[in-house]
Amino acid sequence: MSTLLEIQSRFAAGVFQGSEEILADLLDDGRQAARFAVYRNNTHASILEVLADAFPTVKRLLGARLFTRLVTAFIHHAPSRANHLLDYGAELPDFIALSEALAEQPWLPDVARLDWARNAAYGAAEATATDAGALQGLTAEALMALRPELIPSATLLTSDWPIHAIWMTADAASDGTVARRPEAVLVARPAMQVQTSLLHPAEHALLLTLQGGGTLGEAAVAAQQTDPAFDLMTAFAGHLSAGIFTHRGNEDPTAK
Amino acid sequence: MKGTATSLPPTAGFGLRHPHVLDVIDRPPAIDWVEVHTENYMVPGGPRLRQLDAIRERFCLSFHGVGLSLGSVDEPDRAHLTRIRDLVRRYRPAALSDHIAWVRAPAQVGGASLNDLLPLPCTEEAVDILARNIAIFQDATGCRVMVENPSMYAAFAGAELDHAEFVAETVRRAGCGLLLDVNNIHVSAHNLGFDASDYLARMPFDAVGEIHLAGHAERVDEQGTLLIDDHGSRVRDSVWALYDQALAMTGVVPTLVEWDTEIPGLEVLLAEVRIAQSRLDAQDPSAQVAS
Repeated sequence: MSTLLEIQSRFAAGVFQGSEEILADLLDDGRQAARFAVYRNNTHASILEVLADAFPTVKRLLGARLFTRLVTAFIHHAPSRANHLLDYGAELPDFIALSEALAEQPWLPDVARLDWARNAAYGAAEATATDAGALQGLTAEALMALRPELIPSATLLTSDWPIHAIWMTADAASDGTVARRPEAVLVARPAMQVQTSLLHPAEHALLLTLQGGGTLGEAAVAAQQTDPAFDLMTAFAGHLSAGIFTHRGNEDPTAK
Repeated sequence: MKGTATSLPPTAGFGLRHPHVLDVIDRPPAIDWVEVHTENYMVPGGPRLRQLDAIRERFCLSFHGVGLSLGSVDEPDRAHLTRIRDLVRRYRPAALSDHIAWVRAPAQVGGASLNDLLPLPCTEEAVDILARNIAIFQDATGCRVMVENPSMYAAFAGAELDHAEFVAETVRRAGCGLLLDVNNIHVSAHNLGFDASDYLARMPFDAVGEIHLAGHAERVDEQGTLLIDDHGSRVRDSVWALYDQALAMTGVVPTLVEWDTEIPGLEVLLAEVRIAQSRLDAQDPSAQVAS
């Protein structure tokens, strides 16, 4: 009689590695293999569904067949260690980057990072946005000393490839004719909708400095160095009214 | 832990899934309660939690977990328990449940999630482990929980109890409630070759706090037919018949219709709920199990 530890270990090996030792633990009616296959298929199909939901653009670029092969390899490489799979898939972009078979689409890891940022933003913690009105009346000096923080759902992404354009029209890249062109993207969920915005390089420098804890003055310098002609205050005001900034002590009162 | 395992209204509800959430908030159907999968709400913030706030204002809630892995050799994951407890505090569900099943591989071999409700051998060891883990679940949440009888495609050699005894003894030893899934009984009885009515008759009826109904699929190969518990169609006549038998023994019990794959329009689901409600209405109220 096998112990539960032995049975569960062999069962998991049967599902993930395809080993057949577990069949000897099952009641022998000549149909054990078909019965066990139901479980193996359930696990693979349900994890495939989770990752297809999290990485819709990657799936569209690869097609269903290649995406399924990618997921099968990924499950083997990095199985979920959590009791639920809402957080599963964070390692997929790096896994794609290591794949020689996918090297023909060098933009794919960054596209996967964009998909993942959108997935994470949907359920990210909430914070009350900084009210633009509260900043009116501040002197220029006081304004430049502020350290606005990005809300918890915000992710900044940069790529050597036009990931925002690819995300907008995922099939445009499927013929393999993507021209190399850097893009910067902000993903954030200021209210109930996840927003994916293409950023000017100077705008990205501005937000990156603030994300790193810098002052608005320091962020302005970084933006000016990237593009002296950039209209900093209009960009800042736009993000402020879009609700992507918060500040310490402004956390969501309903969160635990 | 004493007391009933549920304070759900004794009526029929349904499993609320994402495609129907906004519909249900905008045009609340005339039912008393809905059930959600606890794990779907284990996020720090965002629309899902806001939507559940709105649902909670209108309906009683049942939290039905699919991820605690109560049948694992390891103790339940503490972080997972904390997330359940936080959700219970925020939403005050009328019922809290999970399954007589395991989901995660042993920590000793990596602890990977198989993301499925997996079968247990009917052994004393497995009953003891379930009872230990259910006790931890109840202590961590401060609730009397329910566990659901499994649907199975395969049985293990070396059984020390039969399938009905295994469930009844788990509930007795753990001191918890039973979420009686009638479709699971039908599916398992067919797949493993036991008598569904006999299994049903040996359930601990005074522990039943909720009944589940769902559709199942048939998978035919040269060796025979396996019933697949896919919750992807209307409740079959054979399962309605078993439901009537169950009600004759439990009296009126909160009943839930589940539909998880090929999810239809809300009106199709509500039609199933009305059938369940009419069968509840046909019960003699005086036959209800005292609680």
